[in-house]
Amino acid sequence: MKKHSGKGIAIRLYSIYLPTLIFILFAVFPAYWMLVSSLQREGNLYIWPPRIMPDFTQFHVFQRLFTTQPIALWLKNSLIISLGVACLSVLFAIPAAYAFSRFRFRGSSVMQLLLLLSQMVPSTVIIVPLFILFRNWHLLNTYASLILADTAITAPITVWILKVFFDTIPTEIEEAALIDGCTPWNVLRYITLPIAVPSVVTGFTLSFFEAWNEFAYALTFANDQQMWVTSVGMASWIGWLTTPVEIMMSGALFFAIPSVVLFLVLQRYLVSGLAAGAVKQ
Amino acid sequence: MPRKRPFPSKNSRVQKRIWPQFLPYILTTPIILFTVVFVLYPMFQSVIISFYDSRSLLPQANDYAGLKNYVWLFTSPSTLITLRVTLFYVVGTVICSVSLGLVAALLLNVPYRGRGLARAAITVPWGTPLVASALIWFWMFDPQYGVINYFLYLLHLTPQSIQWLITPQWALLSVILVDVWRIFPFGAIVLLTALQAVPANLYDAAAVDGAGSLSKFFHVTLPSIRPSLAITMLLYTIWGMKRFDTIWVLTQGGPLDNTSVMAVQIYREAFRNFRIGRASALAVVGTILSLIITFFYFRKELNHEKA
Repeated sequence: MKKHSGKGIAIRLYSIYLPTLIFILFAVFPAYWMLVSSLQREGNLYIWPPRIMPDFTQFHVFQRLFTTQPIALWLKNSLIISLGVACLSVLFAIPAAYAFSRFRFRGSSVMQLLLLLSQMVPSTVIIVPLFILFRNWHLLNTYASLILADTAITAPITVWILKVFFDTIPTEIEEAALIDGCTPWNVLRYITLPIAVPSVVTGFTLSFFEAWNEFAYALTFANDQQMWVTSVGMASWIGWLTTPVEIMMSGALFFAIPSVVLFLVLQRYLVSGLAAGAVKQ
Repeated sequence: MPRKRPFPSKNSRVQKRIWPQFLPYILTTPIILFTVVFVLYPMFQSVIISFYDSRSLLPQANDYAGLKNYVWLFTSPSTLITLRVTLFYVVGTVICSVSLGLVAALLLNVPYRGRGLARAAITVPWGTPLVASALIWFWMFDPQYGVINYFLYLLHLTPQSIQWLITPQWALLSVILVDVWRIFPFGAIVLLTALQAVPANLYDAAAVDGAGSLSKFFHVTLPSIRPSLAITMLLYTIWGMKRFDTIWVLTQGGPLDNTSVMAVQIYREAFRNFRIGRASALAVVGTILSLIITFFYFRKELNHEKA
């Protein structure tokens, strides 16, 4: 064990703790400001200098948010779509990523290039053709249209994440199992997937957020107000500018909290799982 | 006593010979089909629309205009502006996000008490939904009551309040700041994961060889996390090329085209000017440019893997 001298502590302070603190402030301050700006008495946001502490007597702003805005409906729509997208992406991605990582086959790199290529197409480029397609299929203003369109964005990302992870898992165990007569399907099911759970969770989480965030498709394919997702609904506040700032901020807070919390919870599990995987290796 | 094997059945040898050949195709077909239907086919239709001078959602046969939209694209000064803004925006976001992400990952890789909390705090922006972050930064950038101008005032940095999103020289930087804030945690997490997977014995070996911490970083850490670094940069570049939402919500491409990156310009052309043909022409050219960049990246990475 190293002895902690005074000089060593000073070095750690300036080289690690202080920079980390700056990073934390940069990352968290806007979220804090969202809280401060939502918990303010009406009109207190338009004074100089700004109040830098939240006013904890103002929690009824959330009541105002839910009574004056149809945000419960928007959140429900967002949740259904995001869960659908996340499940579908993982289902598509696991087999494909496994194939790309484990097998050398004709067309492998062409297919990977194709998936990568699909990632480069901005939604605004294909939004008109997709609109026509969904109209022909009578899918406009349904959850299905948004789940399908969003999954086309998220599934290839998930493949990429899983493939990189599968690549780091040594093939020896799988080869041993194959020699012992295990079928490729059972190798994937009982050996590779359990090790890869953290990366599957990563893919699921990222897909969920991508759909939770999605804006352009949601605006175009679900213009019926009953089908509005949260991002579209809240963007309409910016357009009108008649919504009070504290309502806008409390809405943003409500929209952000589930995704931030879910992400933090999963991330703990995810990183410890990944670390364990690395140790096994 | 010979061990009994559970799996081999009578035709297992046949299976083994047939499966490994067809299996990869069975595994990859669903996602490939899905991508073709919902991305490539619409993309192909965009190419067709780009040859029509259409003012409605459904191009009519008599709208056919040949290369008119492309001629407009290559002679219009706004194309050059779009390219310049996109380049500045993408390069700026990628460099800033990767550097911040790498530094954050290195800091978080040092074990100390409360590190989990620091890690959680740094990942907050990544979990914050796009429209929520746009709303909060829109309010923080407010020239009159915004907290950013308040801080600058406290530090005596500016004589008067800055109109962040309305002034040409600040708007693009402001938008870049918002996006760097949103995406740098992604790089931090990916790179931290990679850092933790670097085998400790490599560092021990380097230490035995008398390597200092800088030398360890360049000869052990950097080569080990290279694949993750490459993936992070690639994803940042792709996201940057197609970024639409943040910019649209914050500035709608303004002031005076100063933040009108490719995707925003396409959207403006299609849904503001209702020139779907021109928008598609711009989309086609932009996609080809992105493709070229990715192709070179992909080839380089493949060569790297083979080596």
